[in-house]
Amino acid sequence: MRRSVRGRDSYSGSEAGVVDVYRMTGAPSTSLSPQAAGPSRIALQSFVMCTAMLLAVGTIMVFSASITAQPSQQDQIYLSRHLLFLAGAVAVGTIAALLPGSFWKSASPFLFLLTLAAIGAVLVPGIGTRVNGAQRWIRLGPISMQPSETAKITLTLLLARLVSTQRDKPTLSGRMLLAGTFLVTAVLVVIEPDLGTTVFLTILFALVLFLGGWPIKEFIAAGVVTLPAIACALVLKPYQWKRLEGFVTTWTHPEEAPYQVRQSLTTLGVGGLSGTGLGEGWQKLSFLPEANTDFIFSVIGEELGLWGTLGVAALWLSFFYFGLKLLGQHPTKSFPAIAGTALLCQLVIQAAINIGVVTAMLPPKGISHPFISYGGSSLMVSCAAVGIILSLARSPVEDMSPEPNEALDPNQEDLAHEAFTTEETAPVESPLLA
Amino acid sequence: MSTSHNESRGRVRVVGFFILLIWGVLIARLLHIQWWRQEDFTSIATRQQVSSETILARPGDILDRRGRLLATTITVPSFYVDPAALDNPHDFAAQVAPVLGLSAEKLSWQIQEASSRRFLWVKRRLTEEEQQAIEALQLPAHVCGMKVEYRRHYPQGSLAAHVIGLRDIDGQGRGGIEQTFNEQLQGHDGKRRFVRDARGHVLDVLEEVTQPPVDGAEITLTLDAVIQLRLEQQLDELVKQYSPCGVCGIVLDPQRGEILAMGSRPTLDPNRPQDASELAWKNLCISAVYEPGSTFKPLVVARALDLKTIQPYDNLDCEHGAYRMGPRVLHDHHPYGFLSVSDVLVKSSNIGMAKIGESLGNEELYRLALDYGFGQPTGVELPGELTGLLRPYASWNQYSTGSIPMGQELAATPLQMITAHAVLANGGRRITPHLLKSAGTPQPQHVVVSQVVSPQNARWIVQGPLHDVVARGTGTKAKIEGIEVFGKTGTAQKYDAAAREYSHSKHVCSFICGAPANDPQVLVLITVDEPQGGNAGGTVAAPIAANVLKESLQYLRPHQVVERPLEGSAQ
Repeated sequence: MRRSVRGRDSYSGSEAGVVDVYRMTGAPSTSLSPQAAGPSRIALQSFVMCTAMLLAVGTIMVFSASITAQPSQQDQIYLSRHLLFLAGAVAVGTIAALLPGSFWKSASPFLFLLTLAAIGAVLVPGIGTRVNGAQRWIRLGPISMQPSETAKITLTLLLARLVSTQRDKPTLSGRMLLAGTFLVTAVLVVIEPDLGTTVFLTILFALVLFLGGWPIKEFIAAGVVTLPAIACALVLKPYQWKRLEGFVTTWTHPEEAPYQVRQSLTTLGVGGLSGTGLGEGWQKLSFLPEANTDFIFSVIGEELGLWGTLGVAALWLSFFYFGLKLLGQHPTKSFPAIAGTALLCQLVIQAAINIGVVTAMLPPKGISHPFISYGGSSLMVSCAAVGIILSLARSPVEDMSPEPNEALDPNQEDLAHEAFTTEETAPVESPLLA
Repeated sequence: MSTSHNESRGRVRVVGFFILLIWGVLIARLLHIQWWRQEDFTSIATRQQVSSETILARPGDILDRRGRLLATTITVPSFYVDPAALDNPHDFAAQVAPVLGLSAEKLSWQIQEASSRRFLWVKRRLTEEEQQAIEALQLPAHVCGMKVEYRRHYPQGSLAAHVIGLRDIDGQGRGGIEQTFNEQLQGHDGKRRFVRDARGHVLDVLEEVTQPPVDGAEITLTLDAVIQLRLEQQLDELVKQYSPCGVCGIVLDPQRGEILAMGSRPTLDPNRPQDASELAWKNLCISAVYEPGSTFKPLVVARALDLKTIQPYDNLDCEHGAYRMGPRVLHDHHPYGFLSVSDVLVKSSNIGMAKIGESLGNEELYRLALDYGFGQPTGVELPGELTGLLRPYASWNQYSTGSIPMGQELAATPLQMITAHAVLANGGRRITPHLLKSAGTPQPQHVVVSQVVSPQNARWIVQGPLHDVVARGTGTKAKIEGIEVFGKTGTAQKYDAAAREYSHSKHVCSFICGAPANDPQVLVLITVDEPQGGNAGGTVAAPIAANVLKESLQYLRPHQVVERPLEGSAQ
């Protein structure tokens, strides 16, 4: 254990900006002292509660949406596998939450390179698996994973780190590093091809820069450059173009909409205000494709009605609100604030995009609903993101207030102490008091 | 630092605001779909989920007058496969085909052709052995199965095939009673509405909108299967002896107009219609048109007596076998001098009949033909009945005066002929011959159309001349010991259309007889078209008709058959 901590130290020590950040993150913990634990504790509990409720809704709906017209063993398998994934995801999330916030900053380049290697491996024939004309999966025995999902987290972390270290005066090399990091990932994901994820990563990139205080005029300049490029890409990729075309048709002629979208709308509409009742939907039985993954929100609409869908929306907004509260004590341009907010927004935006697809406001892109959709990769990544948010939110206050440590077992407490000992040694500046 | 921080805090607010805005739009969209347009989507869902299926009505049975089954409906299993659920059509075909007597290659090919479909008949209407063999294979239930279908079955085989007709594979009546009473027999199919998923699996049956089927009505005929069987056996005997091109026979209750039996040869088995020959489909009793010949003569005499143009005990000069009417010379088979009215019929003198015809005149002859029902359908409940041939009065000439009384120049179906004779047998009333006894509800038993002949004269003809025909005339072969039989022979030359004259070699022989003479209960007509090795109604048809008559009477009224009290009449 000691070895690993030391290893991390040596890694972060090699980066010039680390010390600076430690100064930042250390600041509120010294200034706010025990009082800060009060509101943040409620925020923490509420935030974790929202996550748990979303996961619970997901588990129930995965079970319901997996029922087919002719019930068989297969239906049960979905639930048991989902529960297995859930256990794994919660474990991953817990570990992520218990790791010190500094870990994510120091490990981000390493994690990013690992992700990049995995994405690269996907493209190598024989390692990557082709599904529906796209090479997105790595299959290791019974487990298959989608490295581009992981990129959502590791890219965010690295970008946040790069932005936070040069927040006020972006240097040329800094710019190059930022742009290069993003472009390499984006290009690899585009090759798969996975345009949906690429667009999503682009949004993340812009989000991190924006939160990091990047000059507004540069956003405008970038928009002027990239919009024609997106238009070009659409024209060159007939399969993307078709999707977009089908989507536009939906608005003018709903009956000519692609089958999936038409069924999704129908399924939502059938539910009405109060829904058909849990487990009693007809549409999910076979008319609605991908009922337990990308279109699970439609099943919520059919079985739980408008109250159900609005309830999920309320959960997401609460999740977002308490997440922001939780991160609010950090100075806004610090690594925990940028990375945490970006991860939080990422989850909320992904849920919004999923609902946008299900309600035919966005073209179908194969984006799952975080916490709710069936699928191991999605659950793991979402829970890991929540864990990292918790870890980042907690990081500076940790050594000042003992409460968050209560949940830790002695071994990990030990680890946490060691991790934060390094922080204490860092010079402290307090921007909030300034 | 502070300003930068505030600006940055503002940026978090901007992001938060945008995200709130996005969610606001989504919530508005959800309200739009789930609340505002709920009904539209519900109707779309109903359209794709709910479908209906017909529940077949069971076609009604056809019974004879004593309730014996002539036609019935049985359920048979049909074997189907779900090609889309089948992984290996080749193995499946190899397993199933030999059991069902199909070609494995062809079946395998058929299944592969339909591989995207969810339903394919492998074989419809399996036999019991085939069904058991399939069940023994223990095939997986989600891949294939049996569906119950209705099949029409004729338990008596070819018995009364022409009267009953048959029901085709689509459940439509074709020919006979099956066609005439198609609507009553068919019933009304029901409807079932059910919820189905995208793959076609039935999920739920909507009981409240299910319409039950109304099964077809049971129809009871006037036919008697036993008499029908006796008649058909005799017809077969005739075919064996004389190999004619056609034979038919009718047994009629002259008092009530009920047809007790009706048969025609060649025939077919309605259970295997594919084996039937072209000619076998024709019911000669209603669709063959022959010149009646001598059987027409008593009808004319009865009318002449009614109109008193002759008296029962008049003697007519038969001119010793040759009589000139205008440009035409008539001949008798044997030259006769003076003959009584009765003997004109007994000896079947053409010259005598021509003189009676002269006494009536064309107008009365035409009227009597109409009154007896010639030239019109009898109204029996069978499709395809012909009207016979009665030329319009305007085209009658002086030939007609001699030809009509001896049964030429007009043509009739056998059913028309026996119906006309029923008038004499029942005391002068023309009655519609019928086959239907009841169809669910009681039906009128008979319809009296009109009094055609006075009862006395009708009775005189039957008990006098027609009785004598059998006792000492042309129909002596129809004598039955102990029973007073009456009858009339008919031997008509067929008109040869190619030679434009009456053929000397082709005859239609007929014999019509009934018993007992004092109260006729049964009337039998046998018509033989072109018998080989015999050309007179009295020799070819009379013995057969007498056999049918005897067996019918034995069966119907055993106490009247003195010599052979109860034998063969256990019914």
